[in-house]
Amino acid sequence: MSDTLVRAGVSLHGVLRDIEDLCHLDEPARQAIGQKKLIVRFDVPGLTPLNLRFFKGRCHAFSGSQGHRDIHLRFVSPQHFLDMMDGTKNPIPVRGLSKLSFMTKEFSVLADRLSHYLRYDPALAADEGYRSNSTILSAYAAFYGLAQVANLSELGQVISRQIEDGDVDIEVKGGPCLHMQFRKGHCTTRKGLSAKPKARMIFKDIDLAGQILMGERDSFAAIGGGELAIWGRVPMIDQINKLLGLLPAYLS
Amino acid sequence: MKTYTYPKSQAMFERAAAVIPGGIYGHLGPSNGCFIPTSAYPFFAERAEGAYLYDIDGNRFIDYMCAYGPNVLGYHHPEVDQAAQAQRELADCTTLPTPLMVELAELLVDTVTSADWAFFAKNGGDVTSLAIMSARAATGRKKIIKFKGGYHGVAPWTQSYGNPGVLLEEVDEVITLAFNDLEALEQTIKQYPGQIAGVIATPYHHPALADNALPVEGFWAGVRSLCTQEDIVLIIDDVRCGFRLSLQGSDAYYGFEADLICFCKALANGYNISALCGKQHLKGAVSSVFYTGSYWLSAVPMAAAIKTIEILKKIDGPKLMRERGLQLIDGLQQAAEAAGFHLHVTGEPAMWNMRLSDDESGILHQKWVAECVRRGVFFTNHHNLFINTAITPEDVDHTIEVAREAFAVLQAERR
Ligand SMILES: Cc1ncc(COP(=O)(O)O)c(C=O)c1O
Repeated sequence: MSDTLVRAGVSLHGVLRDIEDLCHLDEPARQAIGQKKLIVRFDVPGLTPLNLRFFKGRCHAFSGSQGHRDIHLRFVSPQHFLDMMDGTKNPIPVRGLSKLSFMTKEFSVLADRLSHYLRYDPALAADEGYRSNSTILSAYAAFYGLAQVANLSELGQVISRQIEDGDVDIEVKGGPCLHMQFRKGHCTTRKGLSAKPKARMIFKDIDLAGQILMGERDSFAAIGGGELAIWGRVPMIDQINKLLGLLPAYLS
Repeated sequence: MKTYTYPKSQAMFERAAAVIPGGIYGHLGPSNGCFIPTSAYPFFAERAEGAYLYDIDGNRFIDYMCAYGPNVLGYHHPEVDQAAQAQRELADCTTLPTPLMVELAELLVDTVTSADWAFFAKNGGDVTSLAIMSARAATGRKKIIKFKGGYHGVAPWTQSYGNPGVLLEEVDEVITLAFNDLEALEQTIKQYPGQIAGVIATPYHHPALADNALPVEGFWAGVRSLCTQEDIVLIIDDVRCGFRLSLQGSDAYYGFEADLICFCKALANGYNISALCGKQHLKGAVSSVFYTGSYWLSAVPMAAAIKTIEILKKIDGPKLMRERGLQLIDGLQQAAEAAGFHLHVTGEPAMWNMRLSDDESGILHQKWVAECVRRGVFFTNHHNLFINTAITPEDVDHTIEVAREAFAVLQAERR
């Protein structure tokens, strides 16, 4: 698989998926979507489409190419999608032409708010709310992105094929909890903790999670220092650590 | 029983993490998956004596990791230390080797069944890699067969593609099969006629993070005869088992003869030396391989190795360790049973592997081991443990006492 496809996968199912949590965490985002009720589908060649469903002031992200959508945006290539994320190209609307103003108005507010948080601005570090939202959204983007790296990148597939079936809990103290499901070498990220985890990774706080995900902190030293606690099936955690090492290269 | 805390170890780890990759890297490090939770474990030793290890917080442990194998007679064995000291006063790392090198080689040839010669280096990985290169040099073939979970060191050929820093090209010629699966071996040899240079295996299967397995009936006889038929070099990696199961080599212990056999850990009771031994017909191939190292011919570890082997012979170390291991395993299993748990033990008694089989994730086992460590019994979670000859029956009794208390903690948590 090309690097571009993996980067697009991380961008689509890691970064853009974050709109779901953005609408939950960020007041301006919530206001922007108001009571809008519609589904937008992003359709990138080689990737499972991502759908964002807006309703009752919330957003729910899900993947799949089935079912109703109000706006259907198609891209000619993974690079085309990456260009849209950079703001240099527009998608090709294949459905919902009459509703496209949502994309230029409300959705562009969401995109701006998301990059406000994901392009971390150190000048705003003193703002507790900003820092917290920024790290939570980055963590979700990274852990959802991690599944894309595991499933799409050549080395990621080699690693994930070695992972036994089972769930690994990822718990960030004072932050998000999620789990990674491994089934026959395929990886899926899910919110919340697993009912029956085979292994657990517990980050001391959201800052540590952020630093490790961005490759700024050594996860081995963090385990030794007890800031990153691990339990259960160690080989699963070892392999996740290797996947984490691949992630920064794809998180453009 | 008092439980330990480790403020000094933890503070030292912080200093370590600032200046050393990973803080403590490698197998002694707390992030290798064997120290779970890390808060239950000491990180730094102050001293060691006999069966005991003392950490920098002043806690004493009966050490069942034995430095992951080298400690076979007990730390600081006086006779071994004396022999080393006497040699140190003469010469150690010098421009020429000393005659001790020849004496040690002669002793190994006398002692180890499949040894017609010996080559010395420092680490286990030095000699497993030399064995692979020699097999390729001897046969002119490329491919190596190893077994899944078998540990042979850290050279790229021993690792998996996907591990950081390992290229596909470096592992492309290494085929990994399941231990004890003779049929798969036969099939693979058929699939690559005239292409397999060597088969490398530990004498029994002792992977970390998984149950251990003894060779099944007929496995080694089958491997030996396939290798002989196809001119494949049979390499036994006896780095971990060597001199713990038998002084003749673990191949002899299981009733066959290797072509090349690798020793390290227990060879010199903690002095740094490893050895590749083997059959006459491979001596030329080994000397043809370009292979050496700054400290490989140093004399002090050779003096220690000679003394260690002499003592192990005199006291029949392998028998003693087996008996002590059996006594301990029996006590631990009874303690588990009495508390309503099941301790699943695999491998050889002198270096047994254990796991509470009551929970699939291993978390319960990790908690139990942690409670043992906090009470002065140094086990790790997911690696085989080791007996050394300095461990007394009283140490074993005390260990079982600690294990009981640790089970009681789990029981209380269950309620
Ligand atoms: C079976 C086996 N082979 C090789 C090695 C590598 O030895 P070293 O770490 O001394 O290079 C080890 C070390 O644990 C081992 O157990």
